[in-house]
Amino acid sequence: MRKTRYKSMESRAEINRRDLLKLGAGIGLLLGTPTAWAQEAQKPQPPARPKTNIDDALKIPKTEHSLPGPFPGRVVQVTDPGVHKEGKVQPEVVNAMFEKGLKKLTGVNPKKSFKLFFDNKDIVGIKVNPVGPGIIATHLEVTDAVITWLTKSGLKREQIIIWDRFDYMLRDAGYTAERFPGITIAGLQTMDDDAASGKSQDNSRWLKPDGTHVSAGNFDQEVFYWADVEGDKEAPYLNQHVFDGKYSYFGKLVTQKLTRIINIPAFKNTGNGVSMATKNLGYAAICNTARLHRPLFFDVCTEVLAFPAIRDKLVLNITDALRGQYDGGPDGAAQFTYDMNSLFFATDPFALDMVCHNLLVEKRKEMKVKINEHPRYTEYLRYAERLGLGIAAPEKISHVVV
Amino acid sequence: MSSSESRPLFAALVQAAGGLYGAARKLARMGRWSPALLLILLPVTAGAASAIDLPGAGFHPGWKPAGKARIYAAKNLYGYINGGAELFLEFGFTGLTVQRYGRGEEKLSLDLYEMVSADAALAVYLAKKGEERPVAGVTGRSTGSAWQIAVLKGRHFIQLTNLSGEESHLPAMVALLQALLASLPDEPARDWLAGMPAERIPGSELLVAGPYSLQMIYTLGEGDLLQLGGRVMGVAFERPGAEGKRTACLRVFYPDTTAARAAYAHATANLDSYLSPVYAGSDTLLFKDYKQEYGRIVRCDSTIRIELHLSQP
Repeated sequence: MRKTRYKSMESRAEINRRDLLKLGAGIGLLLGTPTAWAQEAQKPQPPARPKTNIDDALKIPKTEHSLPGPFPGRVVQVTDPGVHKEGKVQPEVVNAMFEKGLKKLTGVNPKKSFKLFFDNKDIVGIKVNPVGPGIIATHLEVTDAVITWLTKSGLKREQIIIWDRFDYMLRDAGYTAERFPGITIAGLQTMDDDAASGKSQDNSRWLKPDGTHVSAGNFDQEVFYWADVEGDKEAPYLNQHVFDGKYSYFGKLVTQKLTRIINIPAFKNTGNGVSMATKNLGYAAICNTARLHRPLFFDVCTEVLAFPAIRDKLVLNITDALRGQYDGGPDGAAQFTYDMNSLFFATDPFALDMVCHNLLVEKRKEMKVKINEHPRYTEYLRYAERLGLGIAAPEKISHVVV
Repeated sequence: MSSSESRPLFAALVQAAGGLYGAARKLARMGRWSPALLLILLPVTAGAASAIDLPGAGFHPGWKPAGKARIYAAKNLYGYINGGAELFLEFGFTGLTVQRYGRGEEKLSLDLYEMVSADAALAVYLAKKGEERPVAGVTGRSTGSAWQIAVLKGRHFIQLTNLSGEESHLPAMVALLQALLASLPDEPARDWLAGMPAERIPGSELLVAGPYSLQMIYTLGEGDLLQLGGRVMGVAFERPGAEGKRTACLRVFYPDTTAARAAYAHATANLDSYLSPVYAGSDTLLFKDYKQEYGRIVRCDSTIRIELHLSQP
């Protein structure tokens, strides 16, 4: 893929606002004077959605492992209240939940399940979510269960890499070489926290003399998500995001080293939406992301996953809902966490997020938290279905509770 | 109480000025105010950031500061709370000081947010508090548990997180907060609920000052539809509705009738595509939403009143 070969995305199907207004004006005529409609022709239009290079991704033929995988629309939820005892996660219960969920999803035992997704030469990346350590992050015990499955099925520990975008977040959440001997722990990038906070004016720990970030070499400048939005040109932005400008490069770990990915997000919200399976990769597999939040936010979770580096490697998603967080996310907010005692399994991350979104909405209602149920917060999932990446329509989703 | 590290925030003002200009630019983009004008106004409302001594060692046996405090200006806030910075910036953010405390391997993280006003700090607290559960021993308004405590005092919003996850750290957390609160100046916020209908659902109130805070309640359209721009605030609350449901109410107080009229016109002309107008007059808009519920926007003098989740028009 060359940088100059991006194309704009075609217009997506949307409700025609002008038609609605015409209809409303008609009704309004029956009820009163529709003075506001007279200005309809002159009114300013909302800013257009920035163009992206999604078409480049869609042009590349799918493989047998492409999303949504062998079980589109199928989501398995395993719940066991015994997984928490005196406030501690019980590893043996997690292992049992994991095996049960995997079997229910695939219909075969763990060994055969392994062969559905991997061969013995694969380099498997386990994408965890380390944001909110101590409060809401991927439990080490869930990651242990996945590693046990992989190694029992014939994979060597050196073929497994636990990864996230930021190295320091992995450390804070307990993902260290000491805790996971023989497994590689890899952050796509580093960030100098002192410089980012402004405490230090010394940029030498993250900025090389040639003006590039020390982690720049970790990103693949041949594989990128392009969006017509500029990243901030100031040093703190570059420190955190490695590149500015309009290109978000994929990590080389994802494009060049990993052959398969297992995704283990945490069950939590981000505002009125969810920060789970699709966001755990959409905003972590690439750099230069802050620029995307405002104009494209959830669409990034669909479009980044449409690129072969993710689409053709992501084989299994396990949403860690041993604890859930229904408000205050994506950062940890302890007052909104609760024991959900569940693990979710799916090959289709979009169906998985739709199921979890709906469960989160119900929890928010139960807890009397303000909730905005605007369809925009799940529109990216329907967009993914239109792109053939997953299932979002409720009637096509099979949510199996064990 | 000894202070291991005096925190003269005025020393960070030069650095914060850059962030202030960034915030002014953001506000200017949200509304139609020039950055220059906002730069004149913001320091007036913000005042000079106060010099506050963070608690040193000795607030509780064995606990002491771990490392130096980190100070975040507006432009660096994304580096600390990437997904949550917008809300602070929208309400008016002056600075954040983060100090970790430790006892061996056990760690607490103290986040001290200074906002431009007591109203702004209250707005953040209300947005973050959830069901309010005051913490015994913490003076002032607080909520939380042994895992995380949020506190409001004057123009400060404080969040103390127990990174070790040990419930037994609660006494140390309370002691730390008490030591800090003693050095924070108090300042009353406006009584936003004065004059509001009595049949409110307790604890349902929120403040709004722009699109990020408004979307906690409802999406009326793209961008800053009510032209709040971080400088005009409104109060939202819930009331019991039909069949056990709740209706949401929002009152926005503009500086004058002209501003309210302009905001009303902007809102009606740019209403979200998922909302179907049913009636529109010069001061009243009725619409039906994606859940087949009704909403009403009414301008009266310098106030806009919004009611949402109505079962009948």
